[in-house]
Amino acid sequence: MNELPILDIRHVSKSYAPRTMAVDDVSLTVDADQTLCILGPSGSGKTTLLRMVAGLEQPDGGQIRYAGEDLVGVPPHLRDFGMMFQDFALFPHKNVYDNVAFGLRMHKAPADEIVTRVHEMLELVDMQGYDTGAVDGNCPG
Amino acid sequence: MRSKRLTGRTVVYGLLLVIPVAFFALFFFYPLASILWLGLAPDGVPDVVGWLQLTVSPYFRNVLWFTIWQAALSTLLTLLLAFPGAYVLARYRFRGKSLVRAIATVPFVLPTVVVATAFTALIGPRGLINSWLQDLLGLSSGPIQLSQTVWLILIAHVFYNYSIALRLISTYWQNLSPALPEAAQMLGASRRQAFRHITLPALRPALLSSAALVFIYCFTSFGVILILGGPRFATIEVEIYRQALNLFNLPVAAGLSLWQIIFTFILMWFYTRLQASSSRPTRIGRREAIERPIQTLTDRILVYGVVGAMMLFIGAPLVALASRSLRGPDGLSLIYYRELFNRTGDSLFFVPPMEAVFNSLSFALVAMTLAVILGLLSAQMLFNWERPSGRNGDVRTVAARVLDPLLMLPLATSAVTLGLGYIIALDKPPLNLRSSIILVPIAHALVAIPFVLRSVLPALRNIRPSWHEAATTLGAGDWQVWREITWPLLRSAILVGAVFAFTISMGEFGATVFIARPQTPTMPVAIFRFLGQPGGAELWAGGCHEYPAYAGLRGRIYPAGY
Repeated sequence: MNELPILDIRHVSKSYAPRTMAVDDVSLTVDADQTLCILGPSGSGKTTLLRMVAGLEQPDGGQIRYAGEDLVGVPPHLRDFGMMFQDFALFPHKNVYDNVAFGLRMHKAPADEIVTRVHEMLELVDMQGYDTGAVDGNCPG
Repeated sequence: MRSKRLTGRTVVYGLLLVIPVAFFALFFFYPLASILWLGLAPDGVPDVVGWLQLTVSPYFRNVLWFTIWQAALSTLLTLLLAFPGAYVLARYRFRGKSLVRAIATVPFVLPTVVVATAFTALIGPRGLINSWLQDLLGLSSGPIQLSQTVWLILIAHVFYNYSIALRLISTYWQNLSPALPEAAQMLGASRRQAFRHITLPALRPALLSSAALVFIYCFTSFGVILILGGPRFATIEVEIYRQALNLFNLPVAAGLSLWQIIFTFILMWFYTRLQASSSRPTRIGRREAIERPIQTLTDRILVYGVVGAMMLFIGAPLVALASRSLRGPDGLSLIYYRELFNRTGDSLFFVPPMEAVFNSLSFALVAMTLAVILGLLSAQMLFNWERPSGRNGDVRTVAARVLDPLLMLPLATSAVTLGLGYIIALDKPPLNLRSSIILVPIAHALVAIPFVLRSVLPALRNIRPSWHEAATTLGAGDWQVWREITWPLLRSAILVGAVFAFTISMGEFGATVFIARPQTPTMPVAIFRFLGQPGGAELWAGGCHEYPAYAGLRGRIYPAGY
């Protein structure tokens, strides 16, 4: 109870053009084992809020803290957040295996660990054997 | 952490902006401004009267009139000849079609000097056809005397521009639904009426934009007219060259260049507007439904006849060039290929041909590197700016919209004008590069940058922002994003741009003839010197036949490189 929330968003605002307020003074906290669901009509700023947490947008004001540390100014690749993109953002020039392995490679995971983890993940979603398939043509449904 | 990273980025983007803009300012706008100044103020004081006098003089009127009518006639002939070919390529499915397409693009990548030489070898006074007819009919001289007539110019122009017209019209035609004329026929129109009232109007955007492009090329034609036309014919382009390099009358050359700049910019503006309207044809139906196989005898006659004529027209000059280069004083011989390594003639201007080949290759490598780097930088810059990001968005978007056409201007500038600008502007302080060997690759790179830009920018636009963002959230830094995502997705577009840049540099003639130093000519310049020597006719007839060999060698570099 007296532990700090893992994610702490305080008074965050973001506007795109002078008159389009995407996120207006939002504050919320997320605890370590909590799942938070943000609902709202399209255009209400859900994605903008997520993108600010991931570091893809800079907030105009307010603070985003992760485990007590201020995240503002930390570039996205050093934040260690995962994000699912609306269009999936599968890399078209990489095959299934390389797409899955990308994050591990960027984190400099050892080569044998990458192989094991990727195969674990593919098995988890029932896609073993699709390693070398292209990411646009082999979607089994 | 924040401030350090952001400044780093600002510096990088600042450099992205400064390098191409500085290059364009120094090597494009400064030379053009110098022409403007010399044209309007020959003695250092503004004197527009002199320029206006030149403009109304009968001399200028004659040159302008010839420039216009030969370009108009060449355009008309090109479209008429390309039309049946475009129809066959758009509507029929037959074996070897992609090969036919590939061969049909060859003329476009040939340098003008080679095209001119090839036609001299084919239908010149001692060309292949004339010597055949001479032997056949037992005449003392060739029966076809086209040299120094406008026909030779027109034929070479049609040859040169056939590929462009064919490609533009057939691609557009392919995307037109065949159901349209069919529907017209169902409604009672005859085939001829359907063609006149439906197909032809539907093709209008493609016909107009290819006509505009061919007209621009013929209007600024230089090498073909200089070599095939003889002293009797001169376009504005050729006249600028003569006034500047033969008569050393730089003010008149600058005055003519001023007109050339005005005309080409107007034509280019017109063309861009036409092109915008022709870029989106309505595509209906699948390819199988559009292309039909050869079934009836009429189909067969049409397809084979058109393709056969096309191959003959494209192949004959090149075959003539090759056979000419292999024909020694006594029959078949490789003597001219051996001659490539020797210096002939006493003048300093004659360097061993292989040396010119080496010059051209080195210049092309440097020009290609420059063009790729600068083209990539300007593409990245335009791309970053055209999507508003953050609050400065609006200013940057406007800047991108202004810069994009500015970076395309070298395409609309005649080569001779550029060369003249270089010798006027860059031969004195603050920037004295007249004796520098770097001037040639710089001019070539400048002409090639628009091609790199137009090849890379669409590829950049095709990269979804979410791919970059996904990569960053997965832990990739700026450099890793470039190496893992951007570079693999841009690679082929960069390669296309590089090949274009290399090809342009190898064939560039109009600007190079001004700025190449006497000791280091490029291949086209060296070929031109062989052709243009006093007593060139004897050279042609006598022992110094190596230039067809040389041009033949040149011709082979292109298809291989493509």
